[in-house]
Amino acid sequence: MIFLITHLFPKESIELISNYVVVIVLIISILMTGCRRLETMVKLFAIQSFGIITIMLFAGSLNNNPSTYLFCGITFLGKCILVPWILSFVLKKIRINREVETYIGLPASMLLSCVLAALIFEIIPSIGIEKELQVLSSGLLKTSISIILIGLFIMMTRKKAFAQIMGLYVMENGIFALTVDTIFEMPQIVEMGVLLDILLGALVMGVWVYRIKQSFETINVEELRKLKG
Amino acid sequence: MSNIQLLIFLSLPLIAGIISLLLSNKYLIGRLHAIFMISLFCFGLKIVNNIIALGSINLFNNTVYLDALSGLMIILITLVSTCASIYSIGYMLNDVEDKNASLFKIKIYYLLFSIFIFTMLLTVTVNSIGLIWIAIELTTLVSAFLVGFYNKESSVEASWKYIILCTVGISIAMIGIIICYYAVTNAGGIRELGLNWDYLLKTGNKLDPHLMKIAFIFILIGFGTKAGLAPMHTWLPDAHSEAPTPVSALLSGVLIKCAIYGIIRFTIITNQSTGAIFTSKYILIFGLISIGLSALFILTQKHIKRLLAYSSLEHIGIITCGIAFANPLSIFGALFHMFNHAMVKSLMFFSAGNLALKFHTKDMEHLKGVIQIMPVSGLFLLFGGLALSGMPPFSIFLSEFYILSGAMDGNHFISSIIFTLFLIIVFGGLSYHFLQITLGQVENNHTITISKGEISRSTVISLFIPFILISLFGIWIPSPLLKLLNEATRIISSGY
Repeated sequence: MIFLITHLFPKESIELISNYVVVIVLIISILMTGCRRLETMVKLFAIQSFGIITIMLFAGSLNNNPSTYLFCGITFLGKCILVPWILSFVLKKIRINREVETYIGLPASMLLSCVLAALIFEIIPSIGIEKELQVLSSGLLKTSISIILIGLFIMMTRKKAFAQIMGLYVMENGIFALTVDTIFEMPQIVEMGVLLDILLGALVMGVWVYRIKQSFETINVEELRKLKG
Repeated sequence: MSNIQLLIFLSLPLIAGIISLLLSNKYLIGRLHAIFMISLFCFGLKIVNNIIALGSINLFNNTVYLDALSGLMIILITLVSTCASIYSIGYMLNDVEDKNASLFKIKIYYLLFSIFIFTMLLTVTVNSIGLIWIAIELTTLVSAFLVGFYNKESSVEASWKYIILCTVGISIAMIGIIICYYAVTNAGGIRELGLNWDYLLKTGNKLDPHLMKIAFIFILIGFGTKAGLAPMHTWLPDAHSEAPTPVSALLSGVLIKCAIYGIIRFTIITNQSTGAIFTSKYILIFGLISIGLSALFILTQKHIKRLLAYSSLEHIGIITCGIAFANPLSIFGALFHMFNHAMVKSLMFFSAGNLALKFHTKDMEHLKGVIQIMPVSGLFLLFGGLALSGMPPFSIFLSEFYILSGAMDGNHFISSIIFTLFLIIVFGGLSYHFLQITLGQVENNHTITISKGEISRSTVISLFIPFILISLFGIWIPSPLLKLLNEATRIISSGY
């Protein structure tokens, strides 16, 4: 597969493609802040994970790093197939799909997250971190920090418990992109463990969203305010 | 010490969990589980004995690293889980929420309980920050089910808060780990070993201090959320008060200390790169805020389990302050305090749980003069409350005294004055509440309906173990434990 990618396309065009992918990944997270249907959020999350995996695959093939392929395959299985599958199963169970009201209106929150990303692109200097491995896009660091913050933003502004899970996973994707950009990959055993935690997390949080729905008849976290002081 | 021994040690709780799934007798499950936990404790003592003899042990191809610090945590976890398991026998059969808990629910309880202990043991034995991160996240995922075990509205709320806050916190810690790993690769370290404790200990001084400072702050916030340090503590009182009582003892006694363990480990490495002044400054701020905030909430608290949860917040603050004073004496005190707090908090949760089982309320306005109705639990609650607030004959006084004298040694005058002030406020609050509960005026309408006596034998037996230990250690620390504490202190203070 190494040879496939590097032989079919010249290096410049791969760099160009992965630059586009980085932009798409950022745009998807901005789209998620303005997304009303929870089901669409899950799909967007899957596409975003696929984008980051593609970037990692390109970087791995340019740096002749064959261990990347196995890891990319497993991550694809986890983040693009299993986690979205679990989450859409939960959505089917709780039969709630639309987010009616949020703390900040959806168009406004899209605009705010655009401003957030623009600020980060302005503030974080492009040089400063020297890379050990040749990673393709220059904007990946800024993109990853923007995605982490946008994930936090989604968690703060949404009222539905399920949307908070999606915010958490957007954050997780941002951290994944940060890993690819700064250190490329962690020791193998740690990577696998993190992936396992993400999978189990989807399962466990899905169960709790279902239980919230059963005890409160809604998944609005505003209703959860019995415990105080 | 071989791989097989450790494998058996780690799989004992899992085997106990599976066996309790297979049995079909309510009474047998609890007793067998307690026997398993006692053997786990004995096994843990054997492993700690090996650690004391050998210094540090690397196993499983460098995946497991044991030294005095992990030895101390192993003793803590196995001891508290033994007490909690003995207490569970009586507690699960006389449950407050549903009197006749179904067999299935009891099985699930013991299974989750066992996996929870397994994940905590994993946290303190693995050799890499990455793996500790994974294990801590696993403890959150497993214990969320235990926190929400009763499936009431309030426990679902507590459990959701717990899972979301701790997961976000731990994600933030991941950023710190990535930056630390970047610092290692940047300094030309070996990539495969880059996150291992023993490797980082050797190469810590070569790491870029600027990167390590950022990494340390992220990790302090991230693991601090799990440890319940003050501004990020909001999940702690909810989770502790809603969980079944034995689980509250585990959460408060050892789980939050597992996160503290992660912070301590990372502090040792950061100290080598940036110096101790930087790290102690940040840890001290979080510690003092924790004690101060808990003092406010303890004074005005009405719910007995929430009172104990806020007291956990206070003691976590004391432990972090002890680490932050960066003096061998105060670090010794902090480590000793970890042990004492785990013991005394188990004692308190167990006796408070006995009251809740008897009186069917956790509201302190209706819990008064309990010593006349439950002589044993009431007496333990009285002595435990005094020990918790720091009265002299008990070991908590000793460890707080060590921390304070370490602070004086290290010229931290202003912070130790604030520290003492907060402790005095907490002392007043706690002793007032517990004296009211145990010796206060009895309400008439309760004496009619509630018969005198204890709940069951196991809920009383489990009170004796922690009580004997805290009264003994206030006078005399056995030499193996002293050796372990000294060795752990040496490991932490090596960076200063």
